[in-house]
Amino acid sequence: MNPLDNGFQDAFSQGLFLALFVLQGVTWGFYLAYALTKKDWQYAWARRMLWACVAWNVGALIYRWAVAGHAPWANQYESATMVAFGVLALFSYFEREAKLPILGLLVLPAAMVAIAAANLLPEEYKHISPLMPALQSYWLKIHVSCMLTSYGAFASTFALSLLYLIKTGNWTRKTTWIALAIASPLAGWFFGYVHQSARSDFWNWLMAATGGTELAYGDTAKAYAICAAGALAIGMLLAFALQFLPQRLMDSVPDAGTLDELNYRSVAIGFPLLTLGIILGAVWGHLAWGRYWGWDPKETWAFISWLIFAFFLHMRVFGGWEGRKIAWVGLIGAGSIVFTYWGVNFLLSGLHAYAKP
Amino acid sequence: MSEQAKAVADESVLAAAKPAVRDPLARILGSFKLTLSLFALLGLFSAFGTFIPQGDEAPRIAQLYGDKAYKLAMQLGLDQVYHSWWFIMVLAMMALNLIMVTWVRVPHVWRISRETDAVLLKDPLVPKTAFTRVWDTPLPPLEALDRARRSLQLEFPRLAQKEGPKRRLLVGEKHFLSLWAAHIVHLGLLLLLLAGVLKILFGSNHNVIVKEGGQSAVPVEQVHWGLHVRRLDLPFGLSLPLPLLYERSLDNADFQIYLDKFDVRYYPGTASPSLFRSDVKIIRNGEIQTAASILVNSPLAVDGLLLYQASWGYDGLYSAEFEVQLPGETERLDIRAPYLQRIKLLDTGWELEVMDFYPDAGMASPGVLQNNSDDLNNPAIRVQFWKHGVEKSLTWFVYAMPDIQMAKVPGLKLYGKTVDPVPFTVLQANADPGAPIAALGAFLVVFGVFSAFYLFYRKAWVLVEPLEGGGSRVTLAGFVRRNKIAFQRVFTRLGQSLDEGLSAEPKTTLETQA
Repeated sequence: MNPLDNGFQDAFSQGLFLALFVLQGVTWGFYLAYALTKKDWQYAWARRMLWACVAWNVGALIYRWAVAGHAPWANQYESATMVAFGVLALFSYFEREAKLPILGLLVLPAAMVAIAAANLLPEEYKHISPLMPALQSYWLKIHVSCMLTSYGAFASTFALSLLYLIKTGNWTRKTTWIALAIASPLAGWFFGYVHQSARSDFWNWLMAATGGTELAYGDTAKAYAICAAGALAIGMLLAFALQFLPQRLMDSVPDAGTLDELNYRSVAIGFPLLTLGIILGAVWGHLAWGRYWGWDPKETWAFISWLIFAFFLHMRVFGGWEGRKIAWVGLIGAGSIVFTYWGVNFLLSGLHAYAKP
Repeated sequence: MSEQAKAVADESVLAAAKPAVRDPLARILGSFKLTLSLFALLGLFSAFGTFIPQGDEAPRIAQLYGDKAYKLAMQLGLDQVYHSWWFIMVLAMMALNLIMVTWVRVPHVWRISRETDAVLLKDPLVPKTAFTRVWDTPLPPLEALDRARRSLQLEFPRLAQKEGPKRRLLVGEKHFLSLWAAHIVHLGLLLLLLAGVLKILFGSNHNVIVKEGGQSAVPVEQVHWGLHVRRLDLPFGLSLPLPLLYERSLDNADFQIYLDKFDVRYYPGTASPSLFRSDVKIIRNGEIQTAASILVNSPLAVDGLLLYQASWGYDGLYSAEFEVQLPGETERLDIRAPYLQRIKLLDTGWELEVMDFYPDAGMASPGVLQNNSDDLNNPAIRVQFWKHGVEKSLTWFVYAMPDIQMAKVPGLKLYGKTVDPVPFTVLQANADPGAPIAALGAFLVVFGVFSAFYLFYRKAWVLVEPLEGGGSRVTLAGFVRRNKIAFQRVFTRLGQSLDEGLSAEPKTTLETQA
């Protein structure tokens, strides 16, 4: 029994984030409606709802902080809710500056994915858990919040790079099918892997439902295949739905130059935060482990992401790269951030193994 | 192309304007292509190290990829990627590249910030990327200059004035440091690399294991200056003699550590630890110098060494409590046996001694126990029995498995109660002479990166020159490296202020008459 898991407060905290997901969905609906019909009141409501999402996210984080007694980014579930906040807060800033409602259609789903991914974690990962001695430091508040906010900014980089490539390239329906056919089973496999690692209720149910045992390689493979097939089915449904995207939606996407500039700006926000986060982590490492850099997988992948975005900036400012080339670098950088944040926690071992309970 | 994108393109043209470097070696080492290649190599090699088992884990390479791959990995140093010669070479090249880039580009940046003033006095042309506005005013040049100064000071409080044969120039500048932001970052990165080198060459990092109630020496690497020759190992069994100006030896620090108490606490009702704390005393020349607590995130500094709480475990016992049922007896005897002490069991003629202790026992093979870790997961004691001084049984007893009795004497049984194990702490004694340099480097990197993105170098000039028919021509020019949108607002405000200032009635003063 987790001493901080007093049932109601834990469930209420998780409920707040589930409600946030719904709120994000409604906000996204307003952005979609505005993109399709161009009615000003819809855009006004989309913006109001966006601020409501930010406020709700802040409130949910404060509640969890109060209940847990520590900053609510000590495990994978909590950090994902903080990433969602980073995405929403930075997008609100962009929204105010650029007034580009179409961006909401792409950036908001990044925050929704963060909350959805958190909720798809095994149940024991979601509980409010006590803080282990290594995390009992004010550096947790500073270092982790910096890193997670930078991830929020890079979520915008991902959305803007993708939008640029769709806007300017030959992004056909066939490409959408192929991309989703590759990405969705991989996501399903990863989902299965996380649940198998945790021996979660879902995984036990899956093994029982298929009549398999953990010891048989074939049975485990079957369970993985079911996860991948389920994700593939969802991906194909999404690809099917995307076939019906009205042309007017694409028409409302800003011109390529504006997208390119906004993409650069999102990196200009994320890169300094990532730099600061890495440096603050090094300072914390020096205090806690006696070294500021130890080539731990998490540190190494944060460094690789930093290198990719340093490459982005060098090519953008000095190399004369813009447009599609820089959008591809942005996508690769965002991919590296996803691996740093999510992949390393589950696929590689190291000193930063705080994601699991 | 949008207006914003065009502005950035202008900036990149200016920034990429290649400084003239004649030395081909300097050109290669300081080249942009080399920087990008090193980024790619560094990223790739760093990623290798996260997928290939490193250090003690290296034998897993054979399991994962086969024996041939394991041998090749060993020869190429893939089991120690971040300490391999080729990785260090890439880091060294990166350092060289940073130095050369700075060497090549610093004069160029200096020209951007300084030479434009001289150009303006010779020729009214302004840089391509600048903002410009021109006024013709009936005001005499000195009065126009005075009014322009007041306007310019609204945005640039500190102004420099330069005098040409006919022209007069006011120069205002802000955030000069941000012009150097990239080079500040480069310098910071160089300092971080230097700090890493200093740590490798002169640092010390060793573990100290101290049992509760015990005392341990603290190993530390000492540096002895003088000419020494070492052999440098190269791949494929090759080596090279390497002359060094110093030698290191492993000595003990001038103090010892005594562990008063190791405290481990758990959150109530869980196996989640809430605290590890070593209460230690620093012993110098046989006397207690100081007492302190070492916790995770709170190291203790002694004589330039930082002592960190690294690990802990159990080694040996204070005592074990259990019940013994002797052969032919129905009553059990309550025993509290101190570790490694032979005790008599009342007047039964039996004696016992707890000879060994495993905090985390597991089965190595049928009937053979082994200790799996230093954690108190599955305690087991090994007890020797005597009857009338004759050895009768030496047996392991696992507390969690009372049904398994290994005693070979029929009727001799043990029933476990508790153990009182002796904890030990593992402290990491670390000396890092590069740490202050790393701190400075880290500060410069952060400062440089934030300056690059959030401080915008901006500069404005007002050039005043006399017109042939009387009056003056006033040229306002501005230059900014980034964030042209924000500077456009500044420039507009300056223009409006000059509109008002230059259109006001001329004052008749000695200065204007002159």
